[in-house]
Amino acid sequence: MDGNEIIPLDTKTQQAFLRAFDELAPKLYRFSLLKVSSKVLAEDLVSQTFLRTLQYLHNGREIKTFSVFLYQVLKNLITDHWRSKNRQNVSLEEFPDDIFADYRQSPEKITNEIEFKRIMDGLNQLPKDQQEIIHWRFIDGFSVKEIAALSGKKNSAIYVSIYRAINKLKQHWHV
Amino acid sequence: MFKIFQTIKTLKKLKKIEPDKRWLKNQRAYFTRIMNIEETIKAARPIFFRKTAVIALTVLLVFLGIGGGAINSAQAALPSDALYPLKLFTEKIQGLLVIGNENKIDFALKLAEKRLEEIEKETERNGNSEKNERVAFTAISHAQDNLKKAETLIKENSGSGKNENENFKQIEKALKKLGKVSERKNRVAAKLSDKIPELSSALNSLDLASIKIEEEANKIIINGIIASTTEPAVSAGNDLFNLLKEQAQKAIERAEKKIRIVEEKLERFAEKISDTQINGNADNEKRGEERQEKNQGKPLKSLERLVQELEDSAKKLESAAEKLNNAKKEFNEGNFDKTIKQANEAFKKAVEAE
Repeated sequence: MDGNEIIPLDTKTQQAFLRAFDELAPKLYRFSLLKVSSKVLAEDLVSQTFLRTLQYLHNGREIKTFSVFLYQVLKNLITDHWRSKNRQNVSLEEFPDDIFADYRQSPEKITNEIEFKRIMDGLNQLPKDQQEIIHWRFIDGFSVKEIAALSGKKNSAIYVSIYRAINKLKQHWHV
Repeated sequence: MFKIFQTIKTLKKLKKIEPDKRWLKNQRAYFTRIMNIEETIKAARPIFFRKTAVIALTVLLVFLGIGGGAINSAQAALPSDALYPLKLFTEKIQGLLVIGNENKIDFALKLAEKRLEEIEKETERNGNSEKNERVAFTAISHAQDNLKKAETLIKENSGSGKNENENFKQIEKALKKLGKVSERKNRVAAKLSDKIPELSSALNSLDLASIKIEEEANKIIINGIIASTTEPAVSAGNDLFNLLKEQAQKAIERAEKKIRIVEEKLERFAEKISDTQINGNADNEKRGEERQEKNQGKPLKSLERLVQELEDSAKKLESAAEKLNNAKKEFNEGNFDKTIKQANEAFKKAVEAE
């Protein structure tokens, strides 16, 4: 697909896709930005995610839960990105200086860089799966049931992960 | 337990991270386009077209029927004519029949130009009559309404999800038309500003309305340029870039002209003040002490106020000139969007000074 090709879909699927875009694009962007720490790259990854989803639908396949599907595609793309760059997850100290500018795109910005760094430090010391669960629960506002679907874990496992993650963060932040 | 809530509250601060709204809008428009939704919507409009056809037929019958003659005569009516309200009414009907956003924008701008043309014609017909003043203000107010309508339509257009090429053509057409409106406005200003000095503030409001339209159009142009770097619309991107450059040049010229006019006005104003000051002092010397005491407060107080006003205007004009310089710098660096912003701010400051 060259990015300009027409992808005809039935009206119902079109509407479902656009609804998913409206609801999930900002969340996917936030998720992506916190993983790759670059605004341009995060935008590109989210764009690619939706494009691949559209191609999937065009091939006549059905998507039961858009959120689960889109996050899975995005996570795969992020993994591919790090693999292609032959890089590991970077710590906050390795972030470029202008990275904070990327977080200040919205009018309600995170004004305090120190505060932001503190939050990210806390999140980064969690295992990857707990980071994602915490992100989905408290930043994106998904329910435990939805997170279970997103992560492929049982509800009880999600509850345990949330409990452990919050305790670790509490200690880290000395709240 | 309280500490857990605080931890969660801290985490939720990350919710403030949001994507760039312009990017989000462009992406949505892009997916809408590649899903070909535009055509689906167009295909689902038979009822609307049937309704429009009925209105068109009705109006046609009215034209051919009893009122036809009067309506046709009304088309040439000027604001002081008895048939003028009928002309405005038929224009409203015509406006309802216009289909498509592009044509609606064109129609609104055409009406704005027509109103200004009427001022010119009325002045030619009435000479220096007092009637001209009333007519001019009413017509300018109508023209301003039409410009506001065009602005709203352009805003709607920017959210329609059309592709860059379509938007580009529409915006280019609208800006050309707006250029004609500005030319006509300048002609009216040249003819009437000396005769009716109060008209300049009304004409300024037309300029400000035009700037708002341009600002909306520029947003679409900039979005198009941004989108064209990630999608294959490079040729449109180049055209859009040139159009933005052209707009930047126009904005600089307009601000420059306005600053020059206001500068001249302020100079004349300053001369008048100094004359008043000299004459006033001479007068006071001639008059007796008693008379001087009686009038002492009044002329001086009014003069002080005038000097204060002059100083305020001069400061504003200085700020306008500074902004214009910034605009020129941005233009030389190729930042045309920033040029337009600075030049328009310069224009607005000059209007305030005026």
